[in-house]
Amino acid sequence: MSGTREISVDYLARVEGEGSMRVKVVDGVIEDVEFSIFEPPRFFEAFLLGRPHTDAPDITSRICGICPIAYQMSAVHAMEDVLGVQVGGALRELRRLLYCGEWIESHVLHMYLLHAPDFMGYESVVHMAKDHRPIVEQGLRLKKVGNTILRLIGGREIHPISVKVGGFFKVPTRMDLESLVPELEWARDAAIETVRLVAGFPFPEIEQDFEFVSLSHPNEYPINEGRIVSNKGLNIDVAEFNDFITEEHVARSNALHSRIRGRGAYHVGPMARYALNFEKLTPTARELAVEVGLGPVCRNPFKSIIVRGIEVLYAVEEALRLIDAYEEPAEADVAYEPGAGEGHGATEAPRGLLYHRYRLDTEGIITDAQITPPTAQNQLMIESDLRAVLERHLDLSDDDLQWRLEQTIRNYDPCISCATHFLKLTIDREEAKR
Amino acid sequence: MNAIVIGIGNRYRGDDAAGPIALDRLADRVPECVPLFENSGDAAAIIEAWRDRDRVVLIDAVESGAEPGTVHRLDGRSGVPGHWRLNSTHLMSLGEAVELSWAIGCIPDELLVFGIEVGQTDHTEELSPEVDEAIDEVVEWVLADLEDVDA
Repeated sequence: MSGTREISVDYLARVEGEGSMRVKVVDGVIEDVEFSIFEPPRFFEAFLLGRPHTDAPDITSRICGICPIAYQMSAVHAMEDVLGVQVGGALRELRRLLYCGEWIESHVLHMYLLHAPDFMGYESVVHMAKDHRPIVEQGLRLKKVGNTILRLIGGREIHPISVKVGGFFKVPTRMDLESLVPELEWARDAAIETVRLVAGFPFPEIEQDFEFVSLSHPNEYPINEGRIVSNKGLNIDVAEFNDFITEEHVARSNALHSRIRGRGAYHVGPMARYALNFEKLTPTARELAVEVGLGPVCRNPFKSIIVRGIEVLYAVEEALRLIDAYEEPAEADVAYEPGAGEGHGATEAPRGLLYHRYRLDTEGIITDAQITPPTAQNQLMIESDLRAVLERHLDLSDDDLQWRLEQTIRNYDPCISCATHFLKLTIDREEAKR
Repeated sequence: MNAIVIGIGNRYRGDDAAGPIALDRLADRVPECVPLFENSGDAAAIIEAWRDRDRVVLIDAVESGAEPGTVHRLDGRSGVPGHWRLNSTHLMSLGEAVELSWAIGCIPDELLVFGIEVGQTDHTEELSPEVDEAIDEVVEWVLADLEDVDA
């Protein structure tokens, strides 16, 4: 194709917040692909300075309305790392259960309300609901199962308040948790149905040579703890994050772009966790993955919707296991003394690895803060996927190409509000005539 | 009457906090049986909050081009103007939440929406003075609306 093509789209639908993408094709050759974030990314880090370390879980939880637990968890783990606090036993398991609730609600929201309409050919879930009401109803009910866990353990579902450095302000009784079981049992079947449903969607043929990065734990599918590993040899302690991963300012974007030193773009999120921890899934989840033809590693980013479904099933089964094993702890938290130092925390947010680093003074006041969210880490990878999709689909009409590119970004469930706060996302594609 | 008051917004984005701050000011003044639900814009959670409620009062920050502090009052069942920019981490707009609720048959019998026109949505916990005053006005409107709810 000759001439210069450009596509302009002022906003990207069904991505949290707003953002921009610009694509330029000259004489059939892709000249430029930009995925940009405009808002100052470091507001929350600056906002934390001079505040007590105990404020971090609550303040950071407000960075994202969809994954508040992820922010709380990375924050408390980093603080506990500074202070030498060990949170074990039932308190540790309760945190894992709470996190399962967040995976369920966040993944289901994205799959049913934002991503499925792409594959089913609808402009939005509102249009989809008119033809497929039972599917949308199932999604809302399944999401609610996650929200109910958040409300019960977190105290509130949107900005949970019960998590604190050292444990919880209040822990649920065994009877409280058992009240979740019937709906979780329904959710297990619904999650299996969901995986079968989304596995039947039409997927573009594209495979990327990703460097997958996620936590890895010897005994469990990673959520709260583990070393940071990749399929290309990375195997580091969380405290070594900045030694191996750099964050660079890019002129067009206020968010920082993350790279693995000496290599470049990498991929965090469900596909990375899945590829690096397949054996740690429950037998049901593994068998279902095989049944729907996923295999132990999935390199097609459009199939991330299936992987999310597998993780929903895992989170539901893990929640049932944790509830079954729960014994109410005698104390809701572990006592500690404030102290100075630096600490690191990394947990697996629904969208991928979320790293926090803090420095505290002797009074426990925050003197330095670093928050590296998953969407910022995936930003370069998203650009790489956009380029790959463009190369294969330059023959599409502008409208179809735009749709496909937006879908490519949505594969990452990019929480723009995580990466910055309000991201203005813009896709530009133009076509000029010679 | 099975009522709920919903406040949408982000407490760290200037006037976008109008909804949550309104809930703070309503906290000790509404009948105990009326829950106050704060949300940063997850439409699915909002739908779940108003599902099975007869009567919903919703307060959100709005950017429609009017003067800061302008209070918009409308019947949400009829839809929400598309040009309202509802701040926060929106996955779907409030308008879409209304449309989706119609599509799946869970629109409340009464859905009273107050939109408070923002002056700024900076990274701050400070409100514009006009918005601060508008929140007080909305609080009185909401209390008047809920007057017939038994405590």
